[in-house]
Amino acid sequence: VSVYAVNSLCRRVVHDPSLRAALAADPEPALRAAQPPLSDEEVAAVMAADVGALSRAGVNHFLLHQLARWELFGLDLPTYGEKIRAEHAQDRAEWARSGSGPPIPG
Amino acid sequence: MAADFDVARLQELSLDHTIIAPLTFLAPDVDVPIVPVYVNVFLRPLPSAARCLGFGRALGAAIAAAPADRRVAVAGSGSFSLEIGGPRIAETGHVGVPDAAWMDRVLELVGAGDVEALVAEATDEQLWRAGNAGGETLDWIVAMGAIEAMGGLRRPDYVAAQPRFGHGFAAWKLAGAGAGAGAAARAEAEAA
Repeated sequence: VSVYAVNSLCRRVVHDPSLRAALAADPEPALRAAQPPLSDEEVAAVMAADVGALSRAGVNHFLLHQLARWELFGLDLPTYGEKIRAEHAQDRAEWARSGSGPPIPG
Repeated sequence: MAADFDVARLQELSLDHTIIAPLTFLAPDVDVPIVPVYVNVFLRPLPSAARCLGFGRALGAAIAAAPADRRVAVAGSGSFSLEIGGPRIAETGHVGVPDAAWMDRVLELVGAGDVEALVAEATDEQLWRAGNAGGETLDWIVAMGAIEAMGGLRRPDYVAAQPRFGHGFAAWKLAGAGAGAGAAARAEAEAA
């Protein structure tokens, strides 16, 4: 998983209406045409709207949630939130218990 | 550049909500020249709070040195505590306010015009604790530094909280030199 390719795709979703239209009309070919190319694993995760796995892999959350903001891959913002909470349920319980949070990235 | 900040000139730049959202209130017709100032407050490594204050002061000094009949507004935009789409979002929705105490503290210091204390407390650890967008507090420090250098940093003329999005609003009116410089710092009207 390169992560960068997914981050880049999500950013272009915000700025490029023609890319959004292509992803909405016929998602998988549009996804496979993306440059830089997504790995097979990334294509599968995005096609499955598995934002939990993409979150876990290290995709930037501000960029990732744009897929839901633009309602691509069957996502919307409430669904996105549910999936992220579910993926990180154990982390959230631990942070609530210890008063800590995720480590500083980078 | 003379103040040792390596600013850049760009011939292509696409603006997004960070500038467009304030503009819809301040200059909806975009009929005034705009100088976008981007500070990396989101992807680590972030500049330190002290560095942001220094940059803001240099910016304010440059504005203060401009012709006296030029009216200038400084607008800063950013949250105090906000998690966007990340694991610390609230129980509903796609955003959260992970550190409400920090949000209150920043608003208190903004309300007191105490940028030095804000700089001392805005460590990288604190900003991260405040959420994946917590670094946006640095934009406020830049704006307050500029206002200070323009001679107007004190208790703001207007201050208000918007706890749901972990931020607030503040404005300083500067009755400065010449025709009067205006400065305002305000947070984003929208969370993202």
